[in-house]
Amino acid sequence: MKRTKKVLALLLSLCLAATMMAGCGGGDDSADNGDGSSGGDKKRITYANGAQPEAMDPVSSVYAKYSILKYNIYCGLARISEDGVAELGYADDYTVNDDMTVWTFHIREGSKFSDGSDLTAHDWVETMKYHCAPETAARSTTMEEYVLNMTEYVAGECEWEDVGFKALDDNTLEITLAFPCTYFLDVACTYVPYKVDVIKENPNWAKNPETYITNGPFRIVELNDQVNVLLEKNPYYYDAENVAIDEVNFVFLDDPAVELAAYKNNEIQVSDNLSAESIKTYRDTDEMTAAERIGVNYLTVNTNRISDNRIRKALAYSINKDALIQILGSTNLPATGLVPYGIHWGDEQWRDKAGDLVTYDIELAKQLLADAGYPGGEGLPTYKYVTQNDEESVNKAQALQSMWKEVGINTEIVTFEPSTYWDVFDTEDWDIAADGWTGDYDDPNTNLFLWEAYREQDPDGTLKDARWVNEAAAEYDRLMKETYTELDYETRMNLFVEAEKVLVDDMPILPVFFYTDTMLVKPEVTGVLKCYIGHVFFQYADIVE
Amino acid sequence: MAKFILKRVAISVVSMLLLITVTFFLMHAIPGGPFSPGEQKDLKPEVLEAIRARYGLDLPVTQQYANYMKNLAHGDLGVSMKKTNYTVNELLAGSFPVSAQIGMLAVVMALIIGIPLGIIAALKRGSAADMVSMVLATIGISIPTFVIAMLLMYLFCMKLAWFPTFGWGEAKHFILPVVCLCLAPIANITRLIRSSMLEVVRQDYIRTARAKGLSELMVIGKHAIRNAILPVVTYVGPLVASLMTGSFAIERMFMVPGIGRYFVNSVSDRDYTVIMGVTIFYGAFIMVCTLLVDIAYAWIDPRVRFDS
Repeated sequence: MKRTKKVLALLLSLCLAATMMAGCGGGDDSADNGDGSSGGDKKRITYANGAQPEAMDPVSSVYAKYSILKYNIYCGLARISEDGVAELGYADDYTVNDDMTVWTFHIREGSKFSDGSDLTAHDWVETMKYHCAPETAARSTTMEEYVLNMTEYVAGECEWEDVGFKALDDNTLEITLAFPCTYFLDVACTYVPYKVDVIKENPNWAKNPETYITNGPFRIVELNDQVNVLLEKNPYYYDAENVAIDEVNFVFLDDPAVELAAYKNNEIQVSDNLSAESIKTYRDTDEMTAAERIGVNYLTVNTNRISDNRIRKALAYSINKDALIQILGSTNLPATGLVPYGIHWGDEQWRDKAGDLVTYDIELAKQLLADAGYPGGEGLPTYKYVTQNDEESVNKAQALQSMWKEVGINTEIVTFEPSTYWDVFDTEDWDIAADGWTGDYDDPNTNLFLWEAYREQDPDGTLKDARWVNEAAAEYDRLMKETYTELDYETRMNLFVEAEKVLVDDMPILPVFFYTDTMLVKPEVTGVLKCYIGHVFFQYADIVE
Repeated sequence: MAKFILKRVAISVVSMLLLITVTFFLMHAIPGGPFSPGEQKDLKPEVLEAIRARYGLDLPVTQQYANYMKNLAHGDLGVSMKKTNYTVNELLAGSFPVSAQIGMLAVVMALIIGIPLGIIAALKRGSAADMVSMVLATIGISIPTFVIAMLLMYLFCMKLAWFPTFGWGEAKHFILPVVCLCLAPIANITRLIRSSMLEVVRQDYIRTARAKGLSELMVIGKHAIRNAILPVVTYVGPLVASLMTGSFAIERMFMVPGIGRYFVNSVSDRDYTVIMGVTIFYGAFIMVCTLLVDIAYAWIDPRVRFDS
């Protein structure tokens, strides 16, 4: 009897353990599990999107991570073409007045949202009105503020009626700009329509595929927090016939090492968070592509503390960028100015046409130091270099430190974790600070506007202590102001050339890298586009056997 | 017994208040915040102020503390400052069950494997079985879980391709994380049981039991284990709490959508409300577990009851 009891007890505990295991597998069996398993005969691409974006909707999002999802599920008045430049999207035609301030778009007849409901010019108006309303407190309204009086509307200083964004009828949208803009088609790529009535009714709309209504090449069918977002081809997309992929699975992987493992295992087909190791492994294969991104990595100099531009230039000319790139094992390009590759001047690269402004020249650096009265760096204080504490930033800092040492400039490296770094940056208690920026549109302004005087102010209107204020800065400001009103393309581009020269000649910032974006794509996958801002587009992709 | 429990509950409540207060002020004292101007260059100062005001960050810290405590009294842990449109309650409700599942499985595995291993090691002291289990136990304790995780991933995901490298929802996604999580506890339990067992079998009452002519199974199973298991019971309380509330390293490696990642990420993101929410949750959970252990202890070992 006793024995039977024991056997029974054992059986019972085994059953318990088994049910527990089974319970774990529970939930909905039909659901996709976020792994790379293929969806039957469907053409599916699994893409690792890095960590899940903090915000999963276009109103509260700030970071590029969400933008990649955004431009696969939404489509603006214009879109990024297969060649990576702006072309018409939901608008099939547009006219613009002579001074480039009034843009009239014609919305395609029969346009639909992803739930099949009509999409008209009024939806664009409603979207803008909602997105920029002060009570919405959208995290980013930079692109929207090209529109006349939009800045005032965002600040709650004017009514919506005063804003230059009007639907003339169901298919005509008239946009009046605050200033002439030659590259407005690029900006119009970011003007996507939301289903505003649904958004207003459901504060939690972005957590549920049913209420996540979009208008792009794909639509969301499944949303698993922290795991994945599954997209399917949107049959209502105006260009649906040219979308070959049935499903795109965005999986969220925090760790580049796991991403590399998953790519090697063929669980993901497209990977773009590459560690130095991934780059080393795939560098010389066809699976890896490196494309320029319109961003630049630079160091900001506290011009109040290092006020002699000869010292600043000595710092810049003693940076051996090729060596630095090799040390870091990155695919970035040496920055020879502030406008990166990827920005065009007609059909050519703007950078190629404007030429190289800063190169590695250690003799010149030494000479400049001597001219400034510090031969061999004698008499110079030790400069405080602040940076973030991740591996790459620290390696970069140490390499720079030794390069500067060679010309006799001593630096002390102080690192901070990413969450405190920008607060430290704002204290301006440093001599040199790591910094960087990626632009938004194919025009030199997207990078060069950063050093305009109005951006150097504290909220109370006074100028920040550390920032660039001298005659050169004033000259720079004057040239940049001219670019906003100059309508002739060549003249305008030449103004940018001049402005950049002024900037580099006074060197309040030290250019280091032009960013490139690297991506791994399996050989059977074609047409995955990485555009100049680093976004990945799947609408032109296909899988060939 | 009732008095004993009541006393323990009262102590827990006081510790909890202390924990909340200290965490709140420490958190605000560390440099940085959830919204930094330099990070987002195109954000205007006015907008930044509006965002800060929206989360009540423009108020004095003491005022923020008062507000927080008021909301907490209603069970409201606030909204996440980084993960927009999510309340902390939602985050915990979504991620805790995931961590709890693998954590509980790991605890069960640790007990099922660790206890017999420890008993065998003690009974066959000095034998090969003892040596092997002690070597395994030492390895289990000394190798960090993330190293084991990487080794397992390399072997089973990449070389043998038995398991996927990521994904969530099926039994195959559970196995490696559970294995990683239970290795160290198995090692600890084995060592605890072994040493306490060695002590217990030398006691007089065991000799008496043997002298009475009881079978070895009865001596060990009925008399020895009951006393030898006490240190394990103490150990299991905090173990359950720590395993069920997730491991940052394991969840990150295997992409488990659990609560563990919030422990670390919320701090480096300075997501104040999530830091508080996770701390309170973890604190409360560990206190409940310890309380249960104390009660179980009193139940197993009458001496504890009398002492108190």
